[in-house]
Amino acid sequence: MNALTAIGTWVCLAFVIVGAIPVAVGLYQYLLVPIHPWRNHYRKAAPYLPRVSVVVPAWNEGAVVGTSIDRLVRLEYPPDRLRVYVVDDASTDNTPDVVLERAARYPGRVFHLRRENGGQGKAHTLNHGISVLLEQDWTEAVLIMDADVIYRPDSLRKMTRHLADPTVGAVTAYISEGSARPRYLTRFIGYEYVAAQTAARRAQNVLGVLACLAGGAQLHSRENLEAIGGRIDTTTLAEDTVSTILTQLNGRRVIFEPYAVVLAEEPEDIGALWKQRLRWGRGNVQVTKRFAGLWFRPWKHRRLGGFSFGLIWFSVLLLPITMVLSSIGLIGLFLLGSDLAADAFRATWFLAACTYLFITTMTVQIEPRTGRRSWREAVAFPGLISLLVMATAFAPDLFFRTIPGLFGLELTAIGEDCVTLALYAWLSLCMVAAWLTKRVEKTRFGKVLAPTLMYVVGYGPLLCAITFDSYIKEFRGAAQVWDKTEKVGRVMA
Amino acid sequence: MSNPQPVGETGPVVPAGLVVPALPSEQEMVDEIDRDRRHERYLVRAALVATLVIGVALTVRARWG
Repeated sequence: MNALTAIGTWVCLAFVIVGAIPVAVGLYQYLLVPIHPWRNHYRKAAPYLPRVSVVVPAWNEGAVVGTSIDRLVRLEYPPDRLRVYVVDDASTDNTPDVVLERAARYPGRVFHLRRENGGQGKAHTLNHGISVLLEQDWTEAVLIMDADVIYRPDSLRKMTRHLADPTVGAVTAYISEGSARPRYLTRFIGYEYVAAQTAARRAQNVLGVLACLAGGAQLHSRENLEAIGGRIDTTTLAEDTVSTILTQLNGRRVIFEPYAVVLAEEPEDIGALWKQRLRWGRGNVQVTKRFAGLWFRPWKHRRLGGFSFGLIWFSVLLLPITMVLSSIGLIGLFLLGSDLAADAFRATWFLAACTYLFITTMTVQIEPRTGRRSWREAVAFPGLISLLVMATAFAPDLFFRTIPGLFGLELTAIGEDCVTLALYAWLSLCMVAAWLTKRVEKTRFGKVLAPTLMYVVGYGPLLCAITFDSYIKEFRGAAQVWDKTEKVGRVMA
Repeated sequence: MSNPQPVGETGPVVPAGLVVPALPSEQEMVDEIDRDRRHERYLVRAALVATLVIGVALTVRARWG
């Protein structure tokens, strides 16, 4: 019996340690960011203005594509070195009219390519355009973007300067949430993009390996695009990630350029966000399976197969699982009567609290405009309940004495056990609560309740819940459909 | 529906009526790269501030936790 208890204790402790790994990796990524001033690609960058063909996939994008084209032809880029190809994926709205009107307004610079049989997804649409422009010798670089994104005037030439180095195959920009009047959810997304791009991708620049070219802003040299097959992958829902990995497997570098800023429209409600991120999450699961022989095998590829990159990749992909393991481990230790339960809980949440403080303080400084606009969302990113749980790492009596004391209460022994179990389970329960928030949004009072719940439960847990859902959908082999995110033209023009 | 101009044919260099922003000179672009490279040092300051915040939190915990 004692031996079983000892084994159980070690297993539970291992679960808790595994649960802490993504938190430690998050902190590790952020500690790499201040190294970026010394480990970046700027020393090899130079003014370089290749002939760029822009491919814009469009399916019913009449509301946004006109503005995008207008901004593209006004980029600080030589007009005779930039062409825009809008690939109309059998749109049923006024997209063809809008594009043809722009083609007439900007002759020789904007082209309308029509797919009569559309609906196969973004990658197929892109391939239609890429096949046309690669037939011409004119194209020296290809910019793949989304129909709704708005490029800042200097963004393209800030990307092309890295292609002056022939070892670079592709460059990506910073996609910034660009609503003129952002709602609560778009402010969360804006903050998330600062963390996930301007911080995390700088860290990846430092490591010399990038996980993903942003789908809305990926610039490929012609040589690179031809080397990866002259087409975009159509077998997964994460075609941009596949292109990124193939580029690096072919020996070319991929660079993130933080000063090339592209504005994008993002979902305003949880349902639309869930749909978008579920596609991304399923795509990542598919990519992980496709490159199964690569991870943690530096002899296959020094950087993609490296330990650091593997940890970063799987920390994001497996975060929901590690959260559940952490809860199981803590509850297991508690039920086994181990004194380690309280220590492991405090250590886990102490690490989480320090990581949260470091990441939040850095992120709001990295992009001060978003920091000012989204400071509430930055604070509430993990959720107010998680913040209270973190606070127990600093003040252990918070849930057992201080809060009950505010109401003139004193916890009994059973009450203390219930609170303890609830705290240990919160890492898993928060994902269930996030899923319930999505359900609440659809109800009559959803418009009022959902935003409040989002701040209480947290945006981070919502993303984890979506990732969890992506496992389920992949495991069940759910239909692989390209659920397009609706865009209505809210981005500041 | 067809393009006003066949795909692949070269049109006028600057379409009439289109306001094209001035492209910086090569030297200006070189200076811009250097400026962006040097600007990255602000990340060090951001990390120091973040470390300071953690330091304050730990001090608070040590004193009153």
